[in-house]
Amino acid sequence: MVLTKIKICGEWFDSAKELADMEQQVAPQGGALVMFQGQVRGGKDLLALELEHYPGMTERCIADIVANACHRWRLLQVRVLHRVGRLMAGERIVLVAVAAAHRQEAFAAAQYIMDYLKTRATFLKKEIGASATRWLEQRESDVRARENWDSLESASATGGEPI
Amino acid sequence: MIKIRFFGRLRELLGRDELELEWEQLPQPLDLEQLRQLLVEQHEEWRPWLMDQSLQAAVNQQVACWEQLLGVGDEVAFFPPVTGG
Repeated sequence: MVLTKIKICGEWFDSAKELADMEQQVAPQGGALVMFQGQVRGGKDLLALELEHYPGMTERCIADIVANACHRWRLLQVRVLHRVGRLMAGERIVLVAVAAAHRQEAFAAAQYIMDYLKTRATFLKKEIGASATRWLEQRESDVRARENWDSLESASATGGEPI
Repeated sequence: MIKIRFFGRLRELLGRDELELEWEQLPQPLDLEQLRQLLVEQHEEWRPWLMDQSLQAAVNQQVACWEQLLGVGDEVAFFPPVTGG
């Protein structure tokens, strides 16, 4: 049974503490711990982000993504934390941490979870600039990143055992 | 009763975040596409946003296809393509 923690929160989260907790909990068989932390990337037209989500559905989407990752790789623990509300440029927005026995699984699963989270979890971002605001569109590159996993999945499904 | 929720840009464009319809007053069987058509007939000004090709929908907090049949008490949501992370 893989321990998972999924949390949507309005306030700052302590990545270092999450990592330390995981390190302790997965010892001694957890040989690898990969953490991705995303921050709001600022620029001249981006001072802050306003993040909206669909409470209930978002948690369910992330739980499904994590369950799929646990099905693909042998993992020990997964944590996904995501902020909502107003976030200033530079503030942390997302944390994905994966513990496994070996690094390959931990690296791959962390990337997989992030790639799906970007285009499947029900978050909606609004950019707040100095003079204007605008809702963010899905990025082609994010969709492609997820589709790469999709095609790998269907390739292994057709070549593997019958479902 | 059926509850309809709107999120993100769509919520702002329509100027509301939810509405409720009486189940007894809806044609049945009713699928998601028919519900969308019904909303557009009732609110002609919503047409460009609700008929947008990229519009996503969920029923009871699960991603749904337009052919999905609806039932009494369902929660339907419409939203633009999502952008997390």
